[in-house]
Amino acid sequence: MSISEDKKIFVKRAFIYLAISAFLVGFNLVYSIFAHGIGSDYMQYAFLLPLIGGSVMSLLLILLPRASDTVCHLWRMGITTLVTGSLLHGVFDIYGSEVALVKVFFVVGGILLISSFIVYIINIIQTNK
Amino acid sequence: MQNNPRKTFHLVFMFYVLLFLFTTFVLLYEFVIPHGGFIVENPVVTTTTTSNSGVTTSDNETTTITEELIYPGTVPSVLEDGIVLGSYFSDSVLITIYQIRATNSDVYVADVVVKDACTILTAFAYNTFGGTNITQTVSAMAIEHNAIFAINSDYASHYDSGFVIRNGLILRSSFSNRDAISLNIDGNLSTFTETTTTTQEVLDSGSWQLWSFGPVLIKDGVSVASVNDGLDRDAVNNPRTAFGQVGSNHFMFVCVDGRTTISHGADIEELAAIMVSLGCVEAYNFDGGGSSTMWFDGTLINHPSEGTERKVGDCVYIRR
Repeated sequence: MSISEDKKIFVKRAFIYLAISAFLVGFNLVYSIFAHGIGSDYMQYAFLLPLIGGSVMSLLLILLPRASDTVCHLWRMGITTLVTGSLLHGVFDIYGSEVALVKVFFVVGGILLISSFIVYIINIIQTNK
Repeated sequence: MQNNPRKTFHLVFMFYVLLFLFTTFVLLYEFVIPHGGFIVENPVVTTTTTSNSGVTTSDNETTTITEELIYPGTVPSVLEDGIVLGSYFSDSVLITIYQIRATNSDVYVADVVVKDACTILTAFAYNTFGGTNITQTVSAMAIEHNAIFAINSDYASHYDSGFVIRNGLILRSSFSNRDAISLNIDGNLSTFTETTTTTQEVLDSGSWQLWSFGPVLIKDGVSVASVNDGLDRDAVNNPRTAFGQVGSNHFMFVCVDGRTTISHGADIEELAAIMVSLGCVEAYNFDGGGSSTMWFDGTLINHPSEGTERKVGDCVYIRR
């Protein structure tokens, strides 16, 4: 795959993540209306995950060494898990309950992101050998 | 790392399926599936009419010996202008239900005078404390407990932490960062931050009921509620339920309708102002929104914002 094709793919991914971020902003606004003015920081700022972890990272990858499919999959799964956890945390915050199970999403999401980063570093080291 | 694309696709697909299934499970577990909790014994209350006055309380059993009960002082002027919706007078309790208008809302006030604070009882849905999705309407709990009056309280089972004492029994001792309120057997309310004490200390100092929700609306005669307390729910107009003390063994239970064109609801400062207007020297906010429910003598008094009564975890009630 040529560099320009890679670039196109990453720019396209950046826009997809941007659209997901916009959807999350909209979702929070609509949910707030039905929550009678009660909000949650987790839901309000969930859009930052795909924005920073998706759009910004995709654009950065144009400049950084190429990431393998495994790295991209792990990263995507991590972001998806964290976004799901944030939305659920927000729903429970607004409902007014404390749900320990939500922590699982943040732990799993974090592990996936760290794993992705480690695999990425290993790939770079192996490529440079 | 070289991967078989087909195998990778299957693994990734499996992950998203598992994520979906786990998310669905968490939602069902929290909102639908009843689980957990333990049965709480009902207190045995015996009322005997006699010319002598006195109250004895031991463990989970209460015996009340009564004489004629007289309304202390005068009715607050704000209630004199209201509509009387019902009343119940016995040797041990005087209850008058008023409807007044405040903060662009219909407000329902139960003016309650009791001989003995132990007359004010609490019940859990299906007599179960600590579970999730174990709920009943206030009406159902009131009928099951032969109540004359009932109101929703703090939905204690909804939280994993926070002091809970009900009918003289400690049910949960883990503290939260909330302020709690104690109804003491001497007929007075006291509020405190849970981190400053223990449930055993509170019980030893004479607590009969302890609720953990808040915030405190009035403390020592001064309104302390603020819409800037960091909780969104306190800053916006909503249906509200509150509990306050006018004097020893003299209490006000309040429900504010909300979320309709007729009744806008109240924010936490407006609720405190209502309690001040009722002459309360101590007052506390209970669970509001769709949970706000006042029931009296077989009739739902307020208009729950969801159109019908929401099922809740617990209530405060007074037996016939």
